[in-house]
Amino acid sequence: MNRALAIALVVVTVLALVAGFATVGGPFQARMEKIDRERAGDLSAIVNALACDDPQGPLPTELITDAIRTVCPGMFLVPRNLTDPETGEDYAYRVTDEKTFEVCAEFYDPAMISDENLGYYPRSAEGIAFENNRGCIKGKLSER
Amino acid sequence: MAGKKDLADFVRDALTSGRSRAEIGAALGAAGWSASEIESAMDGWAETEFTPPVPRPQAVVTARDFFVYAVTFGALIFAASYLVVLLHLLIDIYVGDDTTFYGRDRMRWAMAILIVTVPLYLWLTMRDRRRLDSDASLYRSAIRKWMIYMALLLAAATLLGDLVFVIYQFLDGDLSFQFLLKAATVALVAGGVFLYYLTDIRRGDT
Repeated sequence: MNRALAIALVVVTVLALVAGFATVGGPFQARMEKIDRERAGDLSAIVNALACDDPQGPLPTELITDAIRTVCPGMFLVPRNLTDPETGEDYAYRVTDEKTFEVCAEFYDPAMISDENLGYYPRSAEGIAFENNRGCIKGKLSER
Repeated sequence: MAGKKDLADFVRDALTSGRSRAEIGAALGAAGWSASEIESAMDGWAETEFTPPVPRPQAVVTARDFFVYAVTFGALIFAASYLVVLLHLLIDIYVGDDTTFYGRDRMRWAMAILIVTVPLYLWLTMRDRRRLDSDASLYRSAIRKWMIYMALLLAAATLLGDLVFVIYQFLDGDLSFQFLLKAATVALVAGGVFLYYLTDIRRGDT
């Protein structure tokens, strides 16, 4: 009886660990996920900084801290990272028309990113959305 | 106020001086000792005509036992709980379609704990089993008994709590396949621990 239970413990544990590894992957997978999460946080911070309730200026033409400040001067928080944590390159920023823009990052797997990794705005505001297939957040200046 | 030591000494002295067990019991009863105290004091000495009286083996408590069994017990608790956690997270992902990073991080944590505690627990338990097989006196470890009963208590409490929770979810209308699967994993792990230690304690009692 006890031998059977001990064997069952080993079998169940090994199966659970194998399933666990198959699901979450090894350390490299974990590292990629961490970097992707950081990218998602950075992008949503950028959108957050540009999508305040009361924009004072037009969208900046390029993504630099001082230019971001002119849109929402009242914003206390400015995005800390405007460059990719791994490659060090600037995040891709495009003004698509007068009121809309998008910021993109080269994700390992943008499909993994969900709402919990994004800030308040991408989740709730109208016209702002994370595009899972491209790894971009589309943003929009507030209408008011 | 006399303690157990005085009682044991008295019984030994009385047996040495040739008093019968009935006489000793009566004298102790008259002095206010309860029947169970008298019985356990008498049980400390074998019922033979041999003098001086032959002591029966007593449960022993050693620091070494405490160390070994506390580590075993700790490893068991962590291994059992995190095996359940890991299985629940797998169920959340494959049955419940949970894709959050939070669940994946928790899964890595559970895996790390299992990788350490399960081999440790198995090694300590098999080592203990070998020692018990070669030296039956080790069955008298009081700490070993306590550990086993603690494990039985925790496993029983977990099983009962699990059952209560299933019934509650049923009455509350929230009984889902995912929840039933999770409850089943808890029951399997706690039930396995319970059965294991139940057979273990029975083996030691014989």
